[in-house]
Amino acid sequence: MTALQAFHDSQRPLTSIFQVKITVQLLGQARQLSQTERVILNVEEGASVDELVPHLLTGAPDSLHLILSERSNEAQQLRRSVMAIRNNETIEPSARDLLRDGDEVSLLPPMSGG
Amino acid sequence: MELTDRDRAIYEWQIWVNGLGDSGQKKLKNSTALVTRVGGLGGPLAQSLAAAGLGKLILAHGGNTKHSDLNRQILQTHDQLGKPRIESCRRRLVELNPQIEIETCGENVTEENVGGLVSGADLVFDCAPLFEERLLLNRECVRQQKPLVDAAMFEMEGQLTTIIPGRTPCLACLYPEIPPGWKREFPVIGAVSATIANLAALEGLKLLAGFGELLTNTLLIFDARSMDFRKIAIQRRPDCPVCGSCRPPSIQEPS
Repeated sequence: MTALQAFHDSQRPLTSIFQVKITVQLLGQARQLSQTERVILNVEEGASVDELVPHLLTGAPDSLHLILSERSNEAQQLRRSVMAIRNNETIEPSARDLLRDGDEVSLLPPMSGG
Repeated sequence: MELTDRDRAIYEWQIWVNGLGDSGQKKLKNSTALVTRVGGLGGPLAQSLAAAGLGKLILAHGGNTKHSDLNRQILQTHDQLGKPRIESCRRRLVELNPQIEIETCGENVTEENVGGLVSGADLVFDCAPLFEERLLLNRECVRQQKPLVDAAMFEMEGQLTTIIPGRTPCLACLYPEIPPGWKREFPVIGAVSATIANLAALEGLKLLAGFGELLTNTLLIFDARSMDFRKIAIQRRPDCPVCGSCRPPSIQEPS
């Protein structure tokens, strides 16, 4: 188990009817920096992808914060250049009530020529 | 230009491909492609285009060959160390296919040269590692209404999309900012960059010869660790400062 997932497991509260389980898949540079491909988060029902970001990055290294997140009006949200993907379609990170219990969301930071 | 008997002999095995045929091969012969940076991605890509008989390649690649190029920049050779990379690109491609025309530029894409490089091509391949270069090339392709095949990779993953200005998202729709913390040097296994390169070459060959389905409005993601391929639907940004006001073009097919 990677450090990032171990941290989230230690923080996991008792599941309530108001929580859903979302798997976040990290791609590209985010996967390499975190040495993690998937992190399971328990979040409030109706949460947007932007609202997953502070949960995901709690305890994460600064380099991962830099790649995945930015601040808007003091709130931490998904960086504009990172693509959020669910069911092979991109989704708007700020949209609430899109994610369902058991969904997997992939976060794809930019990559470039080799 | 018509196909010659020699052309038919060289390209016989691909002319058998359904949808390509004589007419597709003739279109390839009369097409010009620009490949910017001819390294780990652009090198194998240019090699596949040359082998397939594309009429003319315009190659832009700066710098001199270094030891650290040699694991992936397959057009570079040990005897070329310390010499301009572009010379080796030309030499190796001429050895592979002396029939095609090759125009070289020993610089990467810049504000000064981008207009001229793009204007000479029917199709552009973006294989550069720096976002500044890629977004500059994207802006120019949108301005000149030229299709752009954008290939990228990181470590064991790669991605690919085909941009038709006004009809699909452009690169600035996907990357509205230059990502912070991006470094020119990053993990690359040559077989991974060559995989994405050859998929990009296929996109270009299909687009120029006029057969098959393209990765338009679609981002192909490849994970070499799991050998997963995924196709992601992508959308234009209506507020994109580069292509937001761009209307769909009528694609100019090479004669």
